[in-house]
Amino acid sequence: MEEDGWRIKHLIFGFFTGAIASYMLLSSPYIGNESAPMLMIFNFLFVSLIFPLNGTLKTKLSMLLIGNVTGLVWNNLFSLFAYTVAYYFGEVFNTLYMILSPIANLVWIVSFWSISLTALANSRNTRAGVKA
Amino acid sequence: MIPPPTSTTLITLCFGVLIFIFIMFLPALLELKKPKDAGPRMILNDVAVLQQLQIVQKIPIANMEEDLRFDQTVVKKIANVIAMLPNLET
Amino acid sequence: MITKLLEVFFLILTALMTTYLIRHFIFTLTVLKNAQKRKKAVTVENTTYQPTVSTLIPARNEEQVIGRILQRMTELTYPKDKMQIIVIDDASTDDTGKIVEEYAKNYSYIKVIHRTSKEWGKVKASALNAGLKYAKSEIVLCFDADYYSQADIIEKLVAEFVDPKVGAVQGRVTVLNEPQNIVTRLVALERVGGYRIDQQARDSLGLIPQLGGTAFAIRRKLLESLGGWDESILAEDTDLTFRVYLAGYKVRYVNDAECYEEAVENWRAYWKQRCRWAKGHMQCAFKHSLKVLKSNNLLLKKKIDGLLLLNVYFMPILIWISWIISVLLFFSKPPQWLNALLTTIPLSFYSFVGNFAPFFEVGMGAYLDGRTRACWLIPLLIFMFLYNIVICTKAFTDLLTSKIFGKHTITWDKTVHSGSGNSYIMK
Repeated sequence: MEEDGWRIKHLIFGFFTGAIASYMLLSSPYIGNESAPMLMIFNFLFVSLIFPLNGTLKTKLSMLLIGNVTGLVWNNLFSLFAYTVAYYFGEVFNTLYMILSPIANLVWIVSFWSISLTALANSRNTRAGVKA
Repeated sequence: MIPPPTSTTLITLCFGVLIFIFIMFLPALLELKKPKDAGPRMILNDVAVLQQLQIVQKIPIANMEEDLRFDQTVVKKIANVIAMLPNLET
Repeated sequence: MITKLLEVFFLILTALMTTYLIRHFIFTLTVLKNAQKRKKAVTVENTTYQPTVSTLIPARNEEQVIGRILQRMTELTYPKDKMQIIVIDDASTDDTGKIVEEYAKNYSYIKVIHRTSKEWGKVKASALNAGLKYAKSEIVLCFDADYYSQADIIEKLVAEFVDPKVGAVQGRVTVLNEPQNIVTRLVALERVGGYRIDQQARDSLGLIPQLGGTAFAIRRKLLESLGGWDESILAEDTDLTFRVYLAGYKVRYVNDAECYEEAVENWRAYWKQRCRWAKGHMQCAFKHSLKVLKSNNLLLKKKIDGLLLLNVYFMPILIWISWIISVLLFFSKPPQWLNALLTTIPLSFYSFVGNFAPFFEVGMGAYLDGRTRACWLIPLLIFMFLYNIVICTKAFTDLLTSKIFGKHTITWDKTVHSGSGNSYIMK
């Protein structure tokens, strides 16, 4: 029970931070229609699955913050790209955009999530005395 | 109102998107090119079983299961000792 | 009118995909929660229940790997007087038969059955049924020829049979030739998600852990009462799983009972293997979906899980259909609420990355296995997923063609094993 206490504490902190981040994102006028749900999904998955793992709260919160920034950068970059290319190529690009956006929208989540997981696994194994 | 984009903006954004996608896949490409965790993962308890059977065999893997709370430092030492011994099976 | 219909269809598909995604999320959380608990593992010392065990090893042209598994069988810690090993040499044209004969000469508990090219049934189930006729033990164990088990795997598998309601027990499969190339590395990740999380969670939640066709044990009497393996089904393992459940028994998954396998080494072999799995699974879906719904032996949660499991290979097809619909709807200027739903499509896509395990499931499995940088390869599973969409679509059209035109297009494309895994075991 003692051992599980910190996990619950980390989860509560994580959800609290994730909720604040999601609220800020939703109320921001600079965020696109697709970006907000994507970032909320990222925050939910990241907090619920990464925060109960071994590792310091500081590391996890930093990762969550970096993840949100990465997501914002990507979504704004991709929206601007879509707007610009559509301006030049019109409807043809719009079709291409719709086909590719499901993959493009989540690529960063998978990459960022897997790197964060590796970082936590590395710190766990180092503490246990095993080199990866 | 967003101003109409110029061709320079278009090229910059294309590069930006490509670079971002490349960065996202970079860790995967790095791990493929220079693997640091290529596996195979060691199947559970084999070290313990080999000890029981006194069968000495080198298994070039070092991933252990967290569930069983193996003392990994001890396992590593045992694995080193096993690796030093001659192979009785050949 | 057409737009309205498309909207409704799109909604149904989204709901279906979200259901699968939530299911995988629950699985991951369950395993993560249980991983913190200590549990007592079955070892050679604390084993008390030791029934007799017949091991069936079907082998067709397996000269590269058959010696490895037979050698391992002789090293198992289970009492040899309670073991019977039956190798079914399924009309091999290479030296498989000779190698097995050599072992049979030296070890009395190893028996070989040679099948001629006339007897060869072209499916694995046929070879297994041939072997079953010679099995005399209480428990029947199955291994493919390319497998390499833990020395104490039998103790771990049979321990579950203490419970009379347990009909079959599945062990864990780990890829042996993982370092070989990108295909083997990605298949290894799929396996981690599939076994470490998916199977483990289904067992913990009392759902339907699936028999994987190898590294599993089943009560002989139950198997015989079910009529052995169904030779008309390509996924004879999934078929058997559901027949066991419908007969009122349950299947357990033992994560600690581990076995190495040699994974497919190139995209072509991956295509053949997965096409066979997809066809077989779809056959099972047609055969069992209704029976599962009507069964009095299954609880509601098992019925739901069973249906989701049976129909999982249809999902990649439904995904590309929903993908196309979402593009059509985008141009028909959909209402705001539907526009927001379009974003759930990518999420659902990722729930089927790899072998139908979402990225977080694979990642968490790798983490619990103590893996580190292997997780970096997870983004590459998107290519496996796209490949699986084509594979499942091809499998479905093949199956449909054979149903409509009565053409027999269902053939067993056997996976060729090169023995590349030997270098990771023998020094």
